[in-house]
Amino acid sequence: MSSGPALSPVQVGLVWKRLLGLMDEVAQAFVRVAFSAVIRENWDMAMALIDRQGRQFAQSSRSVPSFIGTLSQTARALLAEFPAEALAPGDVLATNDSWIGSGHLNDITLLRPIFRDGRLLCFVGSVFHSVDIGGAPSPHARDAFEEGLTIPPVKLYRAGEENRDAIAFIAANLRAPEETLGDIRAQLAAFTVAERRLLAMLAEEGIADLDAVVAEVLDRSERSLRAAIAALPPGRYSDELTADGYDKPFTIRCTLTVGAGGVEVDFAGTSPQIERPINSVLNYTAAWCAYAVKCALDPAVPNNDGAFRAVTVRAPEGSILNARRAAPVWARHLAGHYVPAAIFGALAKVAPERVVADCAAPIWTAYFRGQQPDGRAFVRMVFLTGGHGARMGSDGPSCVSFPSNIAAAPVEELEASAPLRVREKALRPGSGGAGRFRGGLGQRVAIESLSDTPVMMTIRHERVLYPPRGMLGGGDGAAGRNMLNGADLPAKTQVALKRGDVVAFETPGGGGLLPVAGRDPAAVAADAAEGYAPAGKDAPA
Amino acid sequence: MSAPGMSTPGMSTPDLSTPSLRIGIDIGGTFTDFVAVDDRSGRIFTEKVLTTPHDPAEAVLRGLDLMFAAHGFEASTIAAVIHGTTLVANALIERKGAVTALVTTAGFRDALEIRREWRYDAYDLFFTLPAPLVPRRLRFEVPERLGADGSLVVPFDTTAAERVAEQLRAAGIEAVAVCFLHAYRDGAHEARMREVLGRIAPGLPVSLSHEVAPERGEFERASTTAANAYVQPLFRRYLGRLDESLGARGIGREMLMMLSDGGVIGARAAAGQPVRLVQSGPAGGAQATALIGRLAGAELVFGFDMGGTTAKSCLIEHGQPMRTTDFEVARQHRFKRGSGLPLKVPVVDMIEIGAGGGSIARLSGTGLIEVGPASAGADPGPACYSRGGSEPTVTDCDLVLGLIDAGRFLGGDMALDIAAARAAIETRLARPLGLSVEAAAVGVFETVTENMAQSAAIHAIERGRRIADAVMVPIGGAGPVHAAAIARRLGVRRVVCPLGAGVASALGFLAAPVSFAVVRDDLAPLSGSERPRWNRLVAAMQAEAMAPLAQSGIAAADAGTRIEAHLRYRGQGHEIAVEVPGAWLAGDGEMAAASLGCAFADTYRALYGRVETVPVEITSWRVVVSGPLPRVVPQLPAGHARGDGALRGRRPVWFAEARGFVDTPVFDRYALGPGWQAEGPAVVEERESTAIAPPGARLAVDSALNLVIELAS
Repeated sequence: MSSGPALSPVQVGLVWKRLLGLMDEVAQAFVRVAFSAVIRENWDMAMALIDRQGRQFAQSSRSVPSFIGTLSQTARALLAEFPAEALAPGDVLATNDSWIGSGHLNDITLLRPIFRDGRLLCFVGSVFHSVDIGGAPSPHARDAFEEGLTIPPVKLYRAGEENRDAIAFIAANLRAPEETLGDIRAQLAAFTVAERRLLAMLAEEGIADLDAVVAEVLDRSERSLRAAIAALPPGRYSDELTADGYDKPFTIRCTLTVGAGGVEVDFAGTSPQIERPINSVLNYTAAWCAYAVKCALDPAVPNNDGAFRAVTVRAPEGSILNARRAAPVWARHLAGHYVPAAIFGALAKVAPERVVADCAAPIWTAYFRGQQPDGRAFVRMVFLTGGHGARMGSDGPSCVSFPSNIAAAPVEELEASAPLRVREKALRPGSGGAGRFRGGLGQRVAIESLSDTPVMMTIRHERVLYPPRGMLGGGDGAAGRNMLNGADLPAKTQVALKRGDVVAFETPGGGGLLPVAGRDPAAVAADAAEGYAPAGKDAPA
Repeated sequence: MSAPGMSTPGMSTPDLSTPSLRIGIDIGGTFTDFVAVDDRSGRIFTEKVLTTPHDPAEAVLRGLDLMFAAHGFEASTIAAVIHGTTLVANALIERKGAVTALVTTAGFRDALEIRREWRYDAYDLFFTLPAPLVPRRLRFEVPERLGADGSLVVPFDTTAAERVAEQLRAAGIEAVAVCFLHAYRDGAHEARMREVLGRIAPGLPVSLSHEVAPERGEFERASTTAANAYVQPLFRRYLGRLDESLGARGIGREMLMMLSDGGVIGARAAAGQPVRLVQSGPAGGAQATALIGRLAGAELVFGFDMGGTTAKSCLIEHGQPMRTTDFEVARQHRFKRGSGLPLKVPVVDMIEIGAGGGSIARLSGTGLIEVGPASAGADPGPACYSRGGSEPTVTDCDLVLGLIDAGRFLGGDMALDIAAARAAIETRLARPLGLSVEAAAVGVFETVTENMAQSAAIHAIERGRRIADAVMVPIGGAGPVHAAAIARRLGVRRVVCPLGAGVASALGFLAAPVSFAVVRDDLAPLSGSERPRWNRLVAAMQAEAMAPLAQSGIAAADAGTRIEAHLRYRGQGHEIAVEVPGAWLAGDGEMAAASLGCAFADTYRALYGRVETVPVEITSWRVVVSGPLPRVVPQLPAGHARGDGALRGRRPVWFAEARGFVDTPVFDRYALGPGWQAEGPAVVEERESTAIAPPGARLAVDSALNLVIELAS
C-alpha cells in the first residue's frame, strides 16, 4: 500500500509533528469562526485526520477524548455507506446517528476527503456538539426518537455544493438552526485550511502520500502503549461501583485482564440498559476505556487508532454500557463517564500511584432553553464541574472538568447572552474527600431566570446518592445537591422556571486518597485557615 | 564589554550644549544591557554588566558609570532614560509580591480560584494549577450588582464595604484589588469601594478592575487586577530607589518605562498599572525588530528571538508590533496554555515557540526524537560547553552540523568541545536509532526547526496573517543560526539579520514612541446608526489614553491616534481586528459601516476561503495614542572595511537544501560594508551570533548594515 522508499525515523517524527501542529491550526480556525458558545467557549469538539481505511492518526491537542475515541468507528461506518472510491473532491459526509457516532444525537460527525492529483489522500474529520438537535430531549425520554433529529449517513455537500434537501431537512427540525448550520459552515472553513496546509506540507516534504507515515505512526503508538502495559504484573483486576441511576441505582462491574495481548476490559455483570436516556453505546464506552488506560499507563502516547489497538473492550449487549438501538441515550455520559473511575479502581489494586480517586464525574450540565427578550429562541448549556480525585502526592484540584475536558464560560458571558443571572458561584467548603491527599472541592452555583416567558431547565445529575469514592482508605467526596428556590430538586428533572426562580447546584467533591490520619499537619491547618476543610464520610450532602 | 562594531569611542565628541543622548536600560535576569543613542549623529553605544538582583539600581549605576567614563558622557547631555525590567514578571513567577486582598461582588470571591475549569493537559491525571495570588482567607465580598448591560441590580452596600475595609486594615494587607461583576460596563461601584478604602485604610494601594483590565470575563479580569495589586508596592519601592540613584548622578529627568505593548510611558504614570510592564524586556526586542523592519521597508515582519533558553516569535505589521490582551504568566508547564495566571493587559503579541539552544534532545516513548522542553540552561549547558552536560542539545547538534564554529563562539572567548557534543549525540540518539551522529544531529536540527516553524505558523494564523508574506528578522544569539531553515519551512523568502542582536531589547527601548493603549468592550451591530455613539466612545478613549502621555511630557498636538475595531459575525466568539481611519467615524454612518464591513469581509475571506451571510457586529475598540516615533538609524562604525578580505576561511556546513554537507565560505560580519553581496551557501560570523545562508540564497548588506538573505524559491 505504501509508495516510495522506507522513511527514516527522523522523517516520520517530523511529518507526524507537522500533522499534529496542522490539526491544532485547523481546530483553532474552527473555534475562531464557530457560531455556538459550546464550541468557542467550551471547546466541545474534536478535529482529526483519518486514513483511507478509516483509521484516525492525528488529532488536535484540545480534542475531546471521547470524540477522538469514536471518530474512527464513525468514519468506517460512513465509508461503508459511501465507498471511498466514489467520493469526489468537495464532498462532505455527515451523521449524528448515536450508534454510529459518539453516542447521542447532539454530536455531529463530518468527514471530508482530501485529494492530491486526483487521488484520495486521506480524510479530515470532526465531531462537534450541537446543543440544539431538535426533538424534546429530556431526562424522561423512553426511546431515541424522542431525543431529536437523527441524521443518517448523508452526503451533506456534493463536490462543494450544498445538498439543499439535506440542509433544509436539518434546518426545519432545529430550534436555533443558525447556530448548528453556522458551526457546520465553520468546519468547512476549517477543512479548507486543513487541505491547503496538508497539501503544502506533502509538497515540502517530498512525499507522495501518507500511507507509510500513517503505518509507522500507528505502529509506534501501539508499541508504546503495549510496552507500558507490559510493565504491569499480569493478572485480573476488578472494580465495581454503584451509580445513582434514573429511578434506581445501577452497577458497573469492570474486570481488567492484563497480559501479553494488552489490556482487556470486560464489563460483564454491569446492569442492563433502561428505558431512560442514561444508556451508553459501545463506541462511547470503548472511547472512555481507551482514554482511562492511556491516562494511567502512558499519558504521553498520541491518542490515535494505534494506541487503541492494545485495549479491547467487551460489554454485554443490552447492558447500560452497550445499549441496543433505539434505547434513549441523550445523557449517555451518565453511564459512560463512570468508566474511567471503574478502570482506575481496578488499576488501584496494582498501580495506585498511577491513578486518581473518584472525580466528580459524570460532568453536570444544566440545559436552559427559552426566549431572548427580542423573541429569538435560545438554548444554552451550563457546565458545572466538581472536585478532582486526590492523587498520590497531591490534593485533587477543585472544580475541573473530568473525564471530558470542557471549559466553563465566564458568568459575564453567560449573562450577556441569555436571560439568566448567576447569583453565586463559589467553592463548596468541606466537599473534598478527606485523606492524606484530599479530594478537590465542588462548587455552589445559583442561577436566576430573568425571562418573562418560561425557561425550560433540564438537569440529569449523578453522584447525588453515591458520592465520588475515596481510594485506599481516603474519604468520599461530598455528594451533589440540586435546589429550586431553596427546596430540593430531583437530580433528573425538567422544570419551567418563572421569572425570579432560582436554581442552585452543589457539585460533588473529589474522593480522598489514603487515611486522613496521615495528612501533613500543615495541610490540615491550611485547609482550616482557607476554609477548604475536608468533609468526612458523614458530611452533610 | 562593548559590542564591537557598534560603539565608536573617540570618533567625535558629542555636543554638550543641548541634551541629545537617550539611554535604554534593560534589566534582565542575568545581564543589564545599556544602549545609548546620540540623536544628532545617530551613533549608538552599548554596555553590558551583570544584574544585581538584591538591588537592581546598583547594576544600573555601574553600567552608567562605565559608559560615562568610556565615552565622556555627562549627566547634562542625557535627554531621556528609558527603562525596562523583568521585575514585574519575576515577582509573579517567584511569588515575591505584596500581601494582597481581593474584594468582589457577593457570591464571587472564588472566581479567582475556580478559573475556567478545563484541564490544560487532558491526559495528565497529576496536573496542578497555580495557587491564586490572593488566598481564600484574604478574599472578601461586598453586596452590589450590575446586570450584563450595566444596569443597577443591587446598590453598592456602603456599610458592608466599610466592614470589609476594617477587616483589611486589621489583617495587615499591603495592597487591595477590587473586581466587581460587569465593572467593565460601569466602574462606579469599584470607585466607591476605593473611596471607602481611602477613608478607612488610607495609604493602601488599590487596583480597580475597570481601570486595569476593562474586559468581559470575571476570572481573567480578577486575575489581572490581583496581579497589579500584588506587584504595585514592590514596584513603587523599586522606582523610588532607582529615581534616587539617578538623581545622585545628576540625572533629574523622569525616567520613561517600557510597557509590555511596546510603548513607553513616564514612570509616575506607569506606577499605577505596573502589571503593564510584565513583558517589558521582550517588548523592547519587538520594537528593535520593528525598527529593523521599518528600515527594510517590510510591511509584515516575523520577529524571531532565539537565545540559550528560549525562542520567541512576534509579528510586526506596518512597522508596529501586533498586540494582544491575551497573555499568561508563571505557567506550571511552559508550553501549556491554561497552566498559568492570565493577564488581560496590552502586550506585544509574542509567544514562546521553542526552548532555545540549550534544549535537550531525547527519544520519546515512541522511539522518535523529541526536543525540549527540558533545557540544559547555562549550567551545565550543552555537552560542548564541557561543564558536565552529558545530554545532547540543539547547540551540540548545530556544532556537529558546522552551523557554529567551535573556536569562535562568543568571539572565541569560549571554546566548544566538538568531541563531547558528538559523544552525547552518539550515546543518547544515534546508537539507539541506528543512525550516524550526523544523521541524528540532522534529526534534532530538523525537529527543532519544525517545532518553531509550526508554532510560528499557528501564531500567525491565530492572528489572521499569512507568515509566508513576512520578512523574518532574527535576533538573539541562536536566531540567525536557525532563521533561514525556519524561513524555508514557512515559505518566507527574506531574512534580515540586524547587527548587534545581543542588545536588541535595549535598542528597542530607544525606538519606541511614548504611547498608551486603551481597550473597551462595546457590543453593537455593524450599523450606520451607531456611528455617533462610536465616535463619542472613541473620543473618550482617546482622552483617557492621552492623560498619561500628557503626564509624560507629550503635547496633544504631537500625538497621533490609531483606532482599531474588532468585528465578527453575530454568534461567533472571536474577532478580527480592522484598522479604522478616524475619517470613517467622523463621516457618514452608512459609509462607515460599509467600509468596516468590507475590510472585515476581505480579511475573513483571505483566511478561511469564504464569507458568511450573517450580520456583522463590533465587539470592542482599541485606541492607541502615541507621541512621535524616535528616529534611530544605526551608523557605520569607524574603521570599517569595505568587503575585501572579509573571508575568514571555509568549512563544511550541513544544509537541508543539499541534503548533506557543503563546503561553505565563512565571512567576518564586521568587515562587510553596505553594498557587499555574495551567493549562498555562506556563513557570516559576528561576536554573539552566526548567520547561515543556504545554497541558492543571495546575501547582501544594506545601508543600515543589516545582512539580508534572500532565499531561493
